[in-house]
Amino acid sequence: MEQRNVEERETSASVAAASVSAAPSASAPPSDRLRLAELGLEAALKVKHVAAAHSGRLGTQMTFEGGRRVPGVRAVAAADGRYAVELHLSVAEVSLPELAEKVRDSVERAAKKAGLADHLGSIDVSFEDLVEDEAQPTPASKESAPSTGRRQSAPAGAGKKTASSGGRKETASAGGRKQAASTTGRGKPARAAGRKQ
Amino acid sequence: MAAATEQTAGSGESSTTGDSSGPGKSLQSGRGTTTIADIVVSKVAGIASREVPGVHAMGGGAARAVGGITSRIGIGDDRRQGVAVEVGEREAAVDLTITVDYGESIPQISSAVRDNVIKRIEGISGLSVTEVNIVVNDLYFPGDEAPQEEEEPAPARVS
Repeated sequence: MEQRNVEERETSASVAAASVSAAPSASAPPSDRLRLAELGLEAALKVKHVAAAHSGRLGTQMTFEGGRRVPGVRAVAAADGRYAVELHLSVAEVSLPELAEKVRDSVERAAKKAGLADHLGSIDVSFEDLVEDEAQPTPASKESAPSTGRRQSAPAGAGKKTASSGGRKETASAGGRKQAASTTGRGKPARAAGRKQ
Repeated sequence: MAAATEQTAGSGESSTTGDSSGPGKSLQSGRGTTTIADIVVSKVAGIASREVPGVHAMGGGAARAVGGITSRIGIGDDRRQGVAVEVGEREAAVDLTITVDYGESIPQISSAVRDNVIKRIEGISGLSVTEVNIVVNDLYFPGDEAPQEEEEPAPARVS
């Protein structure tokens, strides 16, 4: 048993030694993976309303290779030999699906320009935080405040708008929440479809 | 303290149809996936709630006390105060805790908050909102806050 443990230790040590020796030095030219990560992040940050890269709560969302780190982006090898690029971004308060498509367009253009289009796989965009966009006014500031149907400040048609939402189930007691949840068939565990694991 | 609770389903019920342009469908792309963090949705919900006149503050008493301290020392983000969200790949559910100005109609304010939150989240994130639960946990009376007396500057002790 002890001999087996010793063999395992020796094997792991040799693997570690091999990985250290195989690691490229800082002066080595960057791999396609690192180049894709760098140009992907650079292209994403060029898109309007993208504020910054976000490396996650623990700072683990990054690409690391040969002593170089690219925070906020992960380039992961896929089974087809290409690299999937995951971008983690802080953005302004705009339509996020449209912004994600703009980011993908920008990254694809940059990869094509750099001759890495064949190595580029899927582009996953993750919006991690919302920041204030100083250059562009938010939709909230563009539009007027929503009406509550108050007499002092409400326009003439405000009451109708409030009345039109009367089809929704509303309860005004503390126990009403549980009752309404059972009638809509949405308990606590399944409130949002496709929940994250 | 028994707080008044309102619960309803948002407009997300219609997103189960085959309409590919509706909320909850546009996050799926053939070129990759789009993920939206809980923080993003909760900030959108908090901002949208505060836009409604009659909403005095967000969060319970403890949350407001802690939020006041953290915002003073610059580490807090009160946009998420009083907001709890559950975000999936296509849908989101929101719980809000608000304080309402005394004299305002709570049903009208809660309806306006609900409409605005659903509109903002669906417009910005593309997620469909399945429910917005609102807890009105307190009323704000304008006279509650004692006016701050202007203190006369102390006379100089040295000339």
